[in-house]
Amino acid sequence: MPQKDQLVSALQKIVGKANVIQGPKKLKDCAVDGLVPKAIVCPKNEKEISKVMAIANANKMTVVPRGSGTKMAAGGIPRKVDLVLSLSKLNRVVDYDKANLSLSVQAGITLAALQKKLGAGRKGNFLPLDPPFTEKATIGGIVATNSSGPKRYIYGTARDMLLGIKAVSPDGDIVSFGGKTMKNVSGYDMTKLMIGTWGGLGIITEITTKLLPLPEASATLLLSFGDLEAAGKYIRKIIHSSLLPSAVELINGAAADRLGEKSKYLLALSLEGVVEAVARQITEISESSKKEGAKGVKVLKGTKEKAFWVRVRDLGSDLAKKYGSPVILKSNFVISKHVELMARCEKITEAAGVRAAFICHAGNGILHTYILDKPGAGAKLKGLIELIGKLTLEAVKDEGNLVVESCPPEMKEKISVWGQPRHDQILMRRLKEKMDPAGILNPGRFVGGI
Amino acid sequence: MKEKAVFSENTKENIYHCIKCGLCMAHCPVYKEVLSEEATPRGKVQLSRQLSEGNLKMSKEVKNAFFSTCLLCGACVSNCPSGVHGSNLYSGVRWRAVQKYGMDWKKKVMFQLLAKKWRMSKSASLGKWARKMFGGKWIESRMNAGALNVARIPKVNEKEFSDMVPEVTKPEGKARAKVLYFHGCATNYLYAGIGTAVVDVLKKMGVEVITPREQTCCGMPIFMSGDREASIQNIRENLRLFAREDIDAVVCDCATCSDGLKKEYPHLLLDLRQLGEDVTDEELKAAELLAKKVKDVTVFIDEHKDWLPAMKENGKKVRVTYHDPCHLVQGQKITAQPRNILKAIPGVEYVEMPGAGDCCGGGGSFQVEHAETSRKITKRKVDNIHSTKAQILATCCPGCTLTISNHLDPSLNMRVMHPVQLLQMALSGK
Amino acid sequence: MEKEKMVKELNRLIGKESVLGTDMQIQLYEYDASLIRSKPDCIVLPTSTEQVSKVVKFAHDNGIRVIARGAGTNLSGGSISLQGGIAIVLTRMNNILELDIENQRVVVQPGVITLNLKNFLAKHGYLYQPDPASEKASTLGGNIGENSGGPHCLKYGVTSNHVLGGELVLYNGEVVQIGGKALDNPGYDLSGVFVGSEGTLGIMTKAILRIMPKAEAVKTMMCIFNSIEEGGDTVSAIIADGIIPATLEMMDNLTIKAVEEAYNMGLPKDAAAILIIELDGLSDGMERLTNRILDICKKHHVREIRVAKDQAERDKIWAGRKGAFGAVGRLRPNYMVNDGTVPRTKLPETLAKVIAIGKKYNLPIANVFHAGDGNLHPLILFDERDADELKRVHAAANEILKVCADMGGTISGEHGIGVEKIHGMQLICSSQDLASMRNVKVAFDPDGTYNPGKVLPELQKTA
Repeated sequence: MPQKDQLVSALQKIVGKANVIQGPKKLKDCAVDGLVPKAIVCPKNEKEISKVMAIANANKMTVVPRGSGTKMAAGGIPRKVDLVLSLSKLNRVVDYDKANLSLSVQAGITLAALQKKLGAGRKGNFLPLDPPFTEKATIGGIVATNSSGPKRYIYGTARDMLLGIKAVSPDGDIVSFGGKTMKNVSGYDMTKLMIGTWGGLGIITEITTKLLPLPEASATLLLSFGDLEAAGKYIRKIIHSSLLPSAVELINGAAADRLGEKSKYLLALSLEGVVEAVARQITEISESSKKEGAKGVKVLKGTKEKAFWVRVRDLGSDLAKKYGSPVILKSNFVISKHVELMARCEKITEAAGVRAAFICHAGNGILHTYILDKPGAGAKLKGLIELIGKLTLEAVKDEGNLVVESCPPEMKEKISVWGQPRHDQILMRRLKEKMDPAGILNPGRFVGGI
Repeated sequence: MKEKAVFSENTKENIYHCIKCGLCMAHCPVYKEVLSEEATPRGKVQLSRQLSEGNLKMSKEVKNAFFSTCLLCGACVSNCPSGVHGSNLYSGVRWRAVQKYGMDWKKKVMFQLLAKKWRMSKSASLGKWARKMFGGKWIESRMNAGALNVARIPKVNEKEFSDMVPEVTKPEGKARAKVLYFHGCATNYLYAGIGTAVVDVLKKMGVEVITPREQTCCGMPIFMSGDREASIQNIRENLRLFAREDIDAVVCDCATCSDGLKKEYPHLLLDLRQLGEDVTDEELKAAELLAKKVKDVTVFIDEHKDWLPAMKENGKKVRVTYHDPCHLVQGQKITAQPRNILKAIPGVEYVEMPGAGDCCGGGGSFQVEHAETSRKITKRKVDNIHSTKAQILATCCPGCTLTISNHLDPSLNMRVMHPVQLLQMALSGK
Repeated sequence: MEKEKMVKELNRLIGKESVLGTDMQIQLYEYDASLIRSKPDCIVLPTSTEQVSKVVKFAHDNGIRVIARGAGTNLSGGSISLQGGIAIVLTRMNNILELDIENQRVVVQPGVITLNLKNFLAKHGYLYQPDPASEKASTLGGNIGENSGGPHCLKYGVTSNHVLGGELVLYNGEVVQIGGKALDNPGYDLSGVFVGSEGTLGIMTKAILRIMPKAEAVKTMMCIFNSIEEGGDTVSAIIADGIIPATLEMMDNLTIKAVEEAYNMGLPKDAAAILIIELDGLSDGMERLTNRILDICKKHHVREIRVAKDQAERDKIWAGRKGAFGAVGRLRPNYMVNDGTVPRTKLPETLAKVIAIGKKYNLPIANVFHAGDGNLHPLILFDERDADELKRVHAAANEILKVCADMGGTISGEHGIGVEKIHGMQLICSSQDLASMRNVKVAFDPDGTYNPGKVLPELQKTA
């Protein structure tokens, strides 16, 4: 490897002096699990990224792509961090085709800024993704980490919305897959392959996505239940009916508390669509839920409704503000086990003497566990590690797994952040080896240490 | 030696309209069981093309493909969006295959007897021979009846139906119409009760029924089995007897016969002429005329339902379901008329079965020769029938009657009848 | 390996009744619904994953190429054995293995016929959304291979949006489970990249599919237009108005005539275009939405609107639409179907160009397409026995591909690249894009065992 000075000057030549950051404080802020990069590069376009990658590839320098840095506590400990590649300067809307309901946008733009643009005017549109870090999350980061939120119940996730991806491959090739069309089977679906790869197969620089027209009306129903069994029965009824809520969130007391609601178990149903359908669902669900044991029913609309969902999405980011690297877990499981799994996890955390907030995308089989205590050290850390092991087994029992979305680096050394190894890792490893043969993109951070 | 042309020009051109979309597969009862391309109508159309273009030689394997994986039910024809008439191709290949490799001897004997007019075999009593053939000890030990349980094949009529019915039956009351009655072999030998019912009901409707004594097999089973030369004798004979301007209709009680008389005769004669056989213009014209006059008996009755005398209720209710014979539902698109008749009978509680239009799996000799496939198809049918909890299954085809009654659960004591038989009972107050 | 030896070995491996190798049998597997013909060396009809795995391992060990095939309704030559080898026909693996209503999943073998699955689910009040026109014959394995679409994909997405995982037989016979009943399994989206890979990456011997409860209400309407431009403009206007119906289908005059002849639906044979629009969801507000759509139609001079009164009428409309390709077979002996897709706003312009291309080459073109998705299906009609015509057809088809690419679209929306469009890949992919795809191919199938000569042009050269 060439000397650091040579390297820096080569990078400066590509992106300009000001866009290669070397200040120790800034470098430290961009550290991943304590590993401090040699430099932060902020390219302005794909061509610059391409050149940076070519140099990195030739010199076997590892590269960590970065948006707003909201996910830096996630993933395995990297094998090496040489360069952090910031996409913050790629924040342009490339093509907003309103009549076609499609959008091409660069990776560095935040979702919040984007939604503002899309929603403007008489007939506004939106991109139906509602991941955590409402204000900060960038499109590139959301797609690279396949981040999602409560409304995935009706709208799906990035794989259901994206039409195309532009990326820079580890050897510096600018590649572009898919396009503006609603359907596409011209070659492999590389767009889907790139989603959720944590930048491991290429640096996502631009995405093209479908959009939806903003719904005519929306409302949220908060149903409070005294016990999980009744809540579970009612959830089952809803998700097997022809009713069409856009989110079905089951929230435990500790989580409800943080959302400013008092309820042992809160079921939050978001309703969106034509005016008549929203009105009818409010009435129907209000009545039927009471019969099924709901103790209270609250209807949220307008700014209160919006604020509620932001709090749901940002429960984890609020913890991050407090603790830096809080412990946040994501279990996936078969959808019928919503309350069963939550009940078991609650019992286990209680027995471990740990306070936890639980929020479950009940219609999708995703449970987020937010450990409310500061991770700490020593015996406490050991207890948490044991707890994660137990919770992982619970999810596996229900045909799922457990991913540690955030935790302090000292914990990572002792756990498997990606849950139990699965049979299909062999294919993932081969894909990684073929597409990033030098292993320079985010090495070690992804499933199976790839 | 150059192989003989398999198809006439107009049949051959039709092959090229198969765009291989494969939608026929969804309608083929054999494919659903066998699940290989050989069993698909598309596969056989493509093989027909290969044969016709000389890229495939006639072989025993080809013969087997065209006989063992096709019931000639016609479902592929009536559901082909491109209008490919597969049946014409399959029967053409069967013909050439039989010319080259001959026909199974049992079939041959049978067809020879059917082809020669019944009057010739009267004294020798084909009836007795057939009883021996189907029911006797000898046959049980020697002949493989395939999917059919020999013990459950109905007894042969004591007397042939053609000997029981007068040549002319005068109507009761005012004469409203005059029809010729073409009763198939099955009525003649096995189900005389259907024949009696047809004549009786028509008579009560004020219709004069002429039942030509000299009529013979419609020729379809023979034709479908590949013996076109033999079937042409029957066709000529039947044209002579039935192609008449002076009658109102030719009624049939058998789906296969009416389908043959109506659709196959004209096509077949034209085909044979194009292949160099001696077919006259008069014969072609006669076939066209007959095609216009032929009607399934249920269609005729339904058209003139106001001629039916009133039927009284006697308080008894019987649960009835209806099976669509392929040669009515696929070949002639007749579905409503038999049901109309059944629903009009006061004592009938009509119930529709799932998959009423699906083939029964019999296919004449198919069930004997390809028992395993046939049995699976029949099982689906019978399960559907039993699911209705009906006491009587009505259908308009003696072939289906034979197959289905052979496989019904004996403990349920279900009866299989022609709708006209039920109508006859209702008219006579039973 | 010699064919005879191959057949003998396969007989030993999976039993004689599952191996076909006579000349006649081979002729039966040399085609699909495209124009391509090429013979496999032999055919196997396995009944279990274990048998598939054995056959693939045997093939791989002996350098024999393998192609998986379902009902053979492919429209791009994807199921043709271009380089001989073994055709693995999966039609006999046709069991619905598990209906898991509680978890809204169904687990199927690849040979299950799509419509059979839907009929089965309907009994329980559930739906599997993708609905390719060939669904009554095509298999789910084939749908997965091609990432099939269908009218309802406008609202519900294509096959890949409904496949959550399954069991793969890899190039060397190894069996791997990918994805699962649960969502968000950690790791790359292997199901995502596998679906639509046209049999070039592996064989899916078990698929986990998403099912959903039946919609409360459905409304199907047929809007008849006197000009195809107005039909096309109506489609754009509906989308631009913020309405995404469940389907937005269109047929042109030539197609209408053929469909009417085949199905006797009472369609006006002189109409220039028919739009089939279906709404589904909650009954509330559907009437108002319908009126909004009808208003848009009226603004575009709709000639007549027919709203289906019941399920039987709905079924009839869809039978006509789904049989449209076949019906067009009545007009001329052959057609070449293109399934280029453009941004939906470009639809009217693209359509005009397609019509001009038909005129230029003096070829009749019937158009029937998923208008809401911008997915065209121009059917170029001809007779393959006429060499000159065939030449013009290929030239016209290429020009149409190019038009779609130039419009910012793509060359295949749902039928796949297969063989027929492989030369068009460079219209939409750079060599870097193709190299990237090639890496995926090599990662899954390093020795090029599966379906050689398809999808990727470079692989065609090196194979």
